[in-house]
Amino acid sequence: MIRQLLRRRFSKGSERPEKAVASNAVSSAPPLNRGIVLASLAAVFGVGCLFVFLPTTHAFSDQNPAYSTDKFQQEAQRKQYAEKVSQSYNFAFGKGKISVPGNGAVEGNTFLQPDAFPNAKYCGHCHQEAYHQWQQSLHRNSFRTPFYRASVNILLNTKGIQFTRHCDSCHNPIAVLAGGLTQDSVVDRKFDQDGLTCMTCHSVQQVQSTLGNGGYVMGVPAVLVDEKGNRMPGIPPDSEILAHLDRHSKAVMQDLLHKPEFCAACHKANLPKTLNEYKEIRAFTTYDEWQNSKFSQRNPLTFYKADFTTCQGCHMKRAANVLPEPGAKNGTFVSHRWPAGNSAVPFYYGFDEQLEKTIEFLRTGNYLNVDLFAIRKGSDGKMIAPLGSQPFTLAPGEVVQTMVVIQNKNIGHSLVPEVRDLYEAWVEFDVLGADGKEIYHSGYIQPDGMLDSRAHSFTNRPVNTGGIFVDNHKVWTIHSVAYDNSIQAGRSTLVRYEFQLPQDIKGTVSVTARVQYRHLRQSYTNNVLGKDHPDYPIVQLASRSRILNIGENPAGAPDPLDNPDWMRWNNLGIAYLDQQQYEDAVHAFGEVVKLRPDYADGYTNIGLTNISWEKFGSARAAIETALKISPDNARALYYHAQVERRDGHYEGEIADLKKVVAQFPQSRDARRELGVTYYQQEMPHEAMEQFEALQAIDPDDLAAHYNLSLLYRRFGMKDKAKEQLTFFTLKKVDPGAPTYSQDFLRQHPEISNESKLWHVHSDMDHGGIADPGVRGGGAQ
Amino acid sequence: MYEMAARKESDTVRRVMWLTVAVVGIAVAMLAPEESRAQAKCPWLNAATAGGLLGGDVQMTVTMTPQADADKATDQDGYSTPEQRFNRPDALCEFSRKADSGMYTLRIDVKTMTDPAEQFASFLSLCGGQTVALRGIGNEAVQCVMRNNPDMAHEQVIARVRERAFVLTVSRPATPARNGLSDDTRNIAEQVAGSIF
Repeated sequence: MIRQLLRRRFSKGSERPEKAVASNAVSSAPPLNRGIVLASLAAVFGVGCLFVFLPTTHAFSDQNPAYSTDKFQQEAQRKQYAEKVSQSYNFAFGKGKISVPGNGAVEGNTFLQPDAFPNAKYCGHCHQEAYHQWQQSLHRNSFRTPFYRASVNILLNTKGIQFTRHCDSCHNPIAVLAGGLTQDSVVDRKFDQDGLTCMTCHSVQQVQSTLGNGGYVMGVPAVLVDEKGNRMPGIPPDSEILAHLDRHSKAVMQDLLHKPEFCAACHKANLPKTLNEYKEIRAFTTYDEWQNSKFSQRNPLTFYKADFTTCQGCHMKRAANVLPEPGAKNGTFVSHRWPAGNSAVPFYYGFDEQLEKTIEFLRTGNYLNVDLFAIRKGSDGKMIAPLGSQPFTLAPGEVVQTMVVIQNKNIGHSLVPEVRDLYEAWVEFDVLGADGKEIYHSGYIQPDGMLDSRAHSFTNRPVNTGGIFVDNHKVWTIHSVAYDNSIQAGRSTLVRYEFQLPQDIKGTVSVTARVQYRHLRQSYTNNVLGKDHPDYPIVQLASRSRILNIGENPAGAPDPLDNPDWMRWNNLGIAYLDQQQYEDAVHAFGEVVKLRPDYADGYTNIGLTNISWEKFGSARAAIETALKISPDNARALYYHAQVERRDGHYEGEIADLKKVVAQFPQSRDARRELGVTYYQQEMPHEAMEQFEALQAIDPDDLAAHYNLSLLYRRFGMKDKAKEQLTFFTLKKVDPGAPTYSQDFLRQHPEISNESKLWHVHSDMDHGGIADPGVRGGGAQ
Repeated sequence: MYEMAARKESDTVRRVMWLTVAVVGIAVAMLAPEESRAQAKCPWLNAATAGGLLGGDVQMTVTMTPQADADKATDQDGYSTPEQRFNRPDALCEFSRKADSGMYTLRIDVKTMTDPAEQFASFLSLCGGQTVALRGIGNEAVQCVMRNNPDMAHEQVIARVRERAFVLTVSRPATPARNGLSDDTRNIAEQVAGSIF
């Protein structure tokens, strides 16, 4: 039989599938020489002999005996399981490191049986509403969707399954903690279908830090605590839970679940050196973006203020429950759908309810404001603004530049957040004549489903060492980001469109700007599903239209949907500031204080723009005006401290920053600047205190790493100094990396234009209307 | 004394024998091409998961299939990029478990099509019975409703992931609750599709 087998296996030119049979595994192989054949035979025999003495591979599944509630028996079971898994586990990143390159951790620091996690159906016996919502949610579908698998499979196939622990620490924590992500896995992966099941989130006991990448500490799942409050791992019958509802609640409802730091465990990620064999690169920082937003009330430097709102406040809103739900309060239950931007997954699975809720969430949140703020005419180049409040005339044949200000008004993070290389948000802008004829159109969808390559999109372009766009989300190959057009929380951007009115136009033209969103970028969907997939949903997030008359356009009453004029100017100023057009920004903020002379922030905005412009005298005057209006204004004090530093008034600088820190103890910027000032003033203890506080807020802050390495060394704390220096070196941006971006931009002129801080979208082949900040001109 | 010497000699022979087996085993393991070792596993599903479905330890047989024209066909048609196909040969995986009530089997047959629009129909035609469309498995999938005898239930899913077709067939003892496609077979089909993506 063996001869027959070998003959079949090594016969040349055979078109038949090759087949071989062994006791537990079978393989095919290319033809080998006779020596190796004999060696193989001996090996098969040898391995066969060894296998005789080895136990048969077992699947760990529900087929095992019921999980015991006896503590000692549980520990023994876990120990036995962990030993079994360890025998074949690929500890590629160090002994005992079960989740690296991810950060997931588990109490007991060893593998945990997947059956220790009650499945969602078990919870759904009572929590029917939660179960119903969860089934269609992104958390439930965190692993199984093709959009995820297509990407992680490339990592698995090219680098090895052990590297996927980086992604799966968040997408499939049970697989990671059970030791399933290894070449010779002995784990039954039936739990894959449930992704983040109820008892993954409800078993997390703490977050290690806000570093992300699965920075949780998973407890051994327990749905009950004992009379003393000790967790009781195991899967008791429903009757036992129903008899002790208070103890059930204590076991599964940690305070941590309500905090944004809980979300940070996974909604923040970096690419560690263990993954990319290069250096640590920040991937996405949703938690940090929230922390810097007005909703955290931790950052004194935001342009606007808001009530404190956590991640859960937007993504887990209360609504009336339809199905029985013991977790409901007063007839309402927090959403376990976690609506956000992902419309692709519900569309793929046919989850109509989830899709509907997602679209409703995106459209009704007042998250964005689109403002057709101004026009400039080719005849004189002057800005007519704000539109609606200023009269003007338009003539046939006129070249018109429309200035669209898009404000990230009420999103607690950037537009778009997280994996920007996969998401597609853009501005669709069109101009139509009264007859409906198109005069100009940008941001359209092409017949093949691809977005107009010159659209203004809120995206980025990560590139590899060849200057090539990192398609398919192969994040481990990213070395640089060619550009990033996302709008940070609370900020605005200015998008310019230029077009020519037809010579024979009469009546009116309709101008519309829309922010559109598609999850996911068409080319990625093509990569995942091939090109023969149905059209995935495009959701309009916000829009604004105006009808312009050919001829006279009188000023009118403000539209109730528009921001007030002072805010419209303020948003323009913010956009100009971010585009480094300081003169225009000062002018825009000047208009704000004309309309709102009582608005301290308007003066502060003039001040901070002048600081960026290095006009410190003008900055001081404006900021001092702000402080007269609002003496304890932390934002004004922060910028006042910068002016004081510039003038060598260190005592004043420290006094200002201390006041800011007193009001905003979690202000990263104030802590950082105060640390720097103390350091410069030879106050090392005080400096160290500030940098350590800064590191507690943001464990990735480079200034903290660098300065602490110096300070620790000064105090003889060599190990800590070395550690901080290592972190600094690891996280600091590679100065050579931008060359990869330049290579990419050279090859893609359409995107190169987008990468400029300010640019004009136009089909016209002439230079267009001069921008006042760059080529002279001014506002009308 | 003589017995002790004989036992010592016997121990030495046994040690040498085992040492030889070990050395030869290690040498061959190092000489064998990496892909041949990797191919010993089913690319789409591990044995433990198959065992979970079939209710115990399983025997696994994997047959790799050559893919002569896959690269040429798929790139032009805009299906998988080369990196998506990397190290993912077509394969037939057969898992079986012998039980008192008979042989339980799970069979996964994955094939690359040069022209999916044309060829997938031939996979669908493999179903002798009624087909029921399934959503959320690959690009498209159907359950083939098979005639079952009173003792053994057969479930089959035929699906496509981009340019690849797979046929999943499960044979297990029939249970009263097992009408239509069972949740666990559906999950296996999803896992296979997920691995192919």
